Amino acid sequence: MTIHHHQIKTAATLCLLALSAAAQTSAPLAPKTPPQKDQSFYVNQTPTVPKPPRNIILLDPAHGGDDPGASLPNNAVEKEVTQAFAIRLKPLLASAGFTVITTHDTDASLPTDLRAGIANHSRAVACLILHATSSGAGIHIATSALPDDAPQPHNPIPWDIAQTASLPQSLRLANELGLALDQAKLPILLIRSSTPPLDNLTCPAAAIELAPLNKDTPVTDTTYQQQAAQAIVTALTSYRTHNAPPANPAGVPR
Amino acid sequence: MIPRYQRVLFWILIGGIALMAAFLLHGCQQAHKRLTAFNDATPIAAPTPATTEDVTLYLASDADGSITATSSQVALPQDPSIRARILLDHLIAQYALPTSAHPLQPGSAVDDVFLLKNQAVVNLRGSFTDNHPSGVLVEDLTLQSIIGTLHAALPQITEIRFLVDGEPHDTLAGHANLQRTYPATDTTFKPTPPSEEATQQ
Repeated sequence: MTIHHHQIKTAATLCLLALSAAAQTSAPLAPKTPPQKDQSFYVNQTPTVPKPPRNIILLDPAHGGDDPGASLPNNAVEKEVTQAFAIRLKPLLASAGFTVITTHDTDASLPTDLRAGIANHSRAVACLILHATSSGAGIHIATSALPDDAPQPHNPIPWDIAQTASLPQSLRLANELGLALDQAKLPILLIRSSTPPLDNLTCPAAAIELAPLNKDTPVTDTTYQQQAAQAIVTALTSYRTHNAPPANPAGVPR
Repeated sequence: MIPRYQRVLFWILIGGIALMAAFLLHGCQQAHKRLTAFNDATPIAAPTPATTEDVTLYLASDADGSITATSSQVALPQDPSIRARILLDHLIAQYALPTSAHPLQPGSAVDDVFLLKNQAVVNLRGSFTDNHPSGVLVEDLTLQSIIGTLHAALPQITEIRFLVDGEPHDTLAGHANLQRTYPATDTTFKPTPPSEEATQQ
């Protein structure tokens, strides 16, 4: 009785092994059977690459919720200024033909990784992270501090260096912003920074930090903010015309 | 006439009091011995005179966003780790001066500097990060100033990481990333103005 049971187990094991071997050998063979007709269908059928929208701007008012950001004069906090500045920018950008996406419209506390995720999914032509400070003077425009000559990452793109591929575009974007703000007679500084989530963005990105214009003009000054917002819209319009990535890069899935 | 049982009780109580007093005295003596055992009466090492030496400080300026290398004289010990900590405290002390172009609160900024094989781990004090001005530029300048100064003093170091009170921290004061490892390089920097040429590149 014991021998009989053992024989059954051995036979069952052999059957399973034979079946799995057959399955493994048949799997690689499947692609070798060429389609007998309509060969062109397989050659020409590249996945439809949706045209990257050239008019989407992502605004990320930094801080919010239980993260107030910097303390500013007149009992203001950074999160209020960045949100107000985003609200000021939106209609100006819309009137220039841009579609504006914001990471948050309410006083919400979003982790920087989540903000980067929203920005990366927006497929924006430019991502602007808005900040405000009481240190320094004028407007600070920061791009990622990742090295310029870093090798282009392959898929999957590491999260910490996701900005590498877009860095040349980001530097042109920052330069356009700098030129427009300079023409508006606003003092500017072009800097490099690792402020999150700059390094994690796949879109051309810059952080715009409003600092007091001078001793008498704090960052909460509405005239100053309006002047800066108009110059930023001018810069983005110029960037879209001259420097934005091509509308439909052939074969480059986005 | 006092009854006999009351006299016996009296002497028993007196004996109990004497016993408890003896027990208390013994306990006090034991506690005193334990406490005095902790007092290390060994004299501390006599201070040795240290000569001042030239160091390079990478000083930041908020007005133009620059980092400039400047020579300074400071007395430093020989131990590399303590040397790095004192050097950074000397650097931050420059920013507490009334004439500083990158004003920071006075006070000790660095708790420790741990030197590993080719990496320096700077353990900042929580009081320093709590009182640091908040902003993209101002925080980045502080980090670049520390990195440049450490690189000049310890050229063998290739990477620098930051902790706050011994723990990893997200940002310095809400902006500059403290989670990443920074390359130890010469951080001398002067922002370039925007140009039409850069737009055409």
